[in-house]
Amino acid sequence: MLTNPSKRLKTFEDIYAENHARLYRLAIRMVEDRESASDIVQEVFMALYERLNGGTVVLYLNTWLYRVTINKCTDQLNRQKRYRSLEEVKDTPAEESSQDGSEKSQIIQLALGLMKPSERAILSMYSEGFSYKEISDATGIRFTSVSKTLSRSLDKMEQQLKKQGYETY
Amino acid sequence: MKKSLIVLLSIALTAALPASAQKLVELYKKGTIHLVPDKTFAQGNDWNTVFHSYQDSMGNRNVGARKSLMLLPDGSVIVNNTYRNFYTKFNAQGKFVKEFNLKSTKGKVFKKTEPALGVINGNTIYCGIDNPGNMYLMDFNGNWVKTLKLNYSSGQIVALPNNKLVTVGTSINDGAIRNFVSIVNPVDNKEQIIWEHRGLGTKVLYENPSSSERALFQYRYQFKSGGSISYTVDFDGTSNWYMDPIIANSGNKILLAFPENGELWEYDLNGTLLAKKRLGWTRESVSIEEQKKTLREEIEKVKMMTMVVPRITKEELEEARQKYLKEMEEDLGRITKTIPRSSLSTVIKDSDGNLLYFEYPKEKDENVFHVWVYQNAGGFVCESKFVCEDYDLIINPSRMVFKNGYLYSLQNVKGATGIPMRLVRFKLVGE
Amino acid sequence: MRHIDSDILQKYLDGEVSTDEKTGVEAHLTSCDICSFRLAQLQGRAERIKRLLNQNSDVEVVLPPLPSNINGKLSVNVSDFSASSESRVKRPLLKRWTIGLSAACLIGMVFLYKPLVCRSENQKIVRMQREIVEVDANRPYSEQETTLSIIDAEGNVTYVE
Repeated sequence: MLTNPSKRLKTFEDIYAENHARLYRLAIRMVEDRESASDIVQEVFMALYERLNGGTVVLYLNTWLYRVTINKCTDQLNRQKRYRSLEEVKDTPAEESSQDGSEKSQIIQLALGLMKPSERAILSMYSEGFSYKEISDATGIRFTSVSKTLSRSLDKMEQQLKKQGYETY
Repeated sequence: MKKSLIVLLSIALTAALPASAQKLVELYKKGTIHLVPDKTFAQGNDWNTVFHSYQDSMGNRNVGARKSLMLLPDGSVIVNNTYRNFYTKFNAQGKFVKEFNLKSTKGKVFKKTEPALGVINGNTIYCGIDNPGNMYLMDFNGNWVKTLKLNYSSGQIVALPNNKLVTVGTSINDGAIRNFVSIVNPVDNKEQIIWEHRGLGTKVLYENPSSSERALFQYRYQFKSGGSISYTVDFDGTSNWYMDPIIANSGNKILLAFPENGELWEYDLNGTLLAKKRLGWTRESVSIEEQKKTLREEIEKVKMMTMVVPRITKEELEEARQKYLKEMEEDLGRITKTIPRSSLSTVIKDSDGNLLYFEYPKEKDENVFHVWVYQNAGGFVCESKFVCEDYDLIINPSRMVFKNGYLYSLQNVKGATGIPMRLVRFKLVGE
Repeated sequence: MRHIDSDILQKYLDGEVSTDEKTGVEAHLTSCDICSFRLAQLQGRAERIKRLLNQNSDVEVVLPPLPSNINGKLSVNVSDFSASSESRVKRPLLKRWTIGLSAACLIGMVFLYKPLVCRSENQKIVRMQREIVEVDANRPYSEQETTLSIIDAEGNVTYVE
């Protein structure tokens, strides 16, 4: 159910401030590495700026921002072939895994690291409360396939968490 | 005339000779057994067609991958397909022959069938017990012979040399779960229970055991409206919860192996208990420190656990949680003994009649089995393991069947394009 | 008795089912404890995973400054649907069904329901237990594939795949 689109006047600064944090969170979940995530988010805003400065009207800004971020992260992951097998993960020295000290985020990051880019994307957006339609628009997953893909991704995540002794209740 | 007769006889004998002149036990003593695929077996099969049901899935589970096999006396192989009603037959050289169904005397195909498990009387296949408690017997082409009515569900069924069957069953009796081992006579459908374990019954559920009676690491809360919810703490490689014994037959003995304590009980074919032994490998026990550490971790989990049960109020569930926590804290002070680590996972019988008892490994592919020989007094001989370069081994008796020193198996080949499952015959080669 | 697919249960708990689907699902749930339980499991799992993913995001970073060649004051026409970060997906009102299941333990939870209404499809659950689907002696105990087996009062066994 769509409400009427509302036209609002904002500055680029506003857009940047409002969206930076969550795009950064999304990028971290997908590529893990802080520096890369930061770079990617900067690139996304650069791309947005170029369009807006050139006079393009960007519709459905939210979805656009997520879609571009996800695409850039996916590209990076494919370039690096960063999803590792379980054996490699075990050998990963402590510094390489999540730079955040907390054990919980290490666990989640490890689990995400074993999933495909599209699965990381779908879980990230799902956890932020996006609808299936929005997830479909941003990730490129067919709308009718979202529930199946989401189910599978949640399954996989649950299994990975269990393996690390972390229960999902 | 006589001369040619002798020649014929010796040819027949040669053909029946097992794969290795060496006894299998001598091989196992080498410690590591390489499973080497026999390249002459199962040639010319189009695996994508033969195992077309491999890709069946239900929800997110690849149920089509759950296949099992059994051998007929002439060496042909029957493969079972989970949730499908057809069996896949291969000849003694492993070449696909046909798919066939279980059919009634009128030729009507049975819609739901259970896996074909083994052969009795040399000519009849017995299948698993279905949900209503029926076990179908059929000939080698799927023609129905007989139905045994057993009013229970069963996990394991093993044929005995006297053409009876021994099974491990579960049933509900007066509201209680009952697990048992029984010898079934297919001729008259009569059963003889040789071992039994009664679970929680309705009476027990409504009684609250005092804390001195409560077993360590088991926590239960009874709802005011009836029913209960329970929680147990297990340690790696062991389980406090009830586990069925693993049954096997060797010679004239029925053997029950108990995973939770590693005991092995021997019975004769009439169901008389002969001896209680212990499966002799040593594994470290769960120390008192480890028990306390695990219990403390579980306490933290229970503190954070969201417990909700249909038709039960939040308040009552909070009472349940508090009860668990109180008892768990009590148990921290009650731990005085180490717990033996049970690790028994399954048993495979080889073609010399030896029993290979497997553990659960700490890591994937680190399987270890213990060889028990049952001629004469019988006992533990040695420890060994299987390795296989070409296949991702899944080890259990439904996937690995011995005949004449060869190991017939259903395994996924590494690096396959398309459907990876293969029917393969392994030669056992000592390291 | 046919049960609801996990995919559809997931759609239902996310509020993404059509009106027809919703009616069908709810009708089935009123008489099937197994699917109600399964729904509860899925809801608990979704909540937990979401919470974990969002906890992970206390990685707050100071907003890096915009590059100097960007005019932050550029005014922008933004057309957007109201699906901003403030709005959350509406979830259907569910009774809270989640049950804590420890994956490392085999839990037997025994329910004895006193049925309010006696229906032929109503399956009274007597025992729910996690069982190993197919033992693999080549894999650690904690990595065995398990399924939930549910035994009802008649002794029928259902496996929740």
